[in-house]
Amino acid sequence: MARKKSLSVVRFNTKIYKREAIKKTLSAYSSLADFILRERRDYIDVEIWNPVSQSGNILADEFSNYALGMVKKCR
Amino acid sequence: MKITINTKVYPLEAILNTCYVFIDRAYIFLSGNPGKGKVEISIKGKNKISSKQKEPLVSEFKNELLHCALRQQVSRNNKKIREYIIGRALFSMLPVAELTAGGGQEGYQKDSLGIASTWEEKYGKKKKFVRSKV
Repeated sequence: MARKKSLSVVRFNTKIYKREAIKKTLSAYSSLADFILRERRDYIDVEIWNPVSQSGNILADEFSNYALGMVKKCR
Repeated sequence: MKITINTKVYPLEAILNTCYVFIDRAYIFLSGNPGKGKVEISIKGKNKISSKQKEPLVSEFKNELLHCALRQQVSRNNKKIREYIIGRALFSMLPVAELTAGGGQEGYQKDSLGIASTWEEKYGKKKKFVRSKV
């Protein structure tokens, strides 16, 4: 099995971005790439692997925008 | 472009509301520690824009931030009166039977206020006047 290349890592501060919001974002974006979630004390790191489309650079930005929207919705 | 915001001046709620307004025009990412009074906002335009075009976007963001903070403060100040008005409006929508004590379950035959009684029943017994001898 070929090693997948990590596209980017987004670090979310849990004092700003709620866990629930990030998990909802993950489930919404699950069809567009592979995601690995690493929970730390104050941060949640989201690794983005294997994006479906070539416009992978935009994916991380879109992901964080969606997470921001979810944060507002979850409040 | 990065902006650092003091959360003691602009509350996190206002910052989030402002970011939400700009979500369709820019990629926004928040970092920093709001507990220590510092939030860093990175704003990246969705379309490729020059540095000259970035400045109005950031200025507009700051203006919107001020607007959101003020709106939140006004909303907090008017909370009690808003709740009172809504409470009054909902209370006036209740049926009349529920507004009266007992919920109108007594029925008219019980006549707890004594409305149905006649004048004679109430005041019929005349007092006897005693003539005093002059």
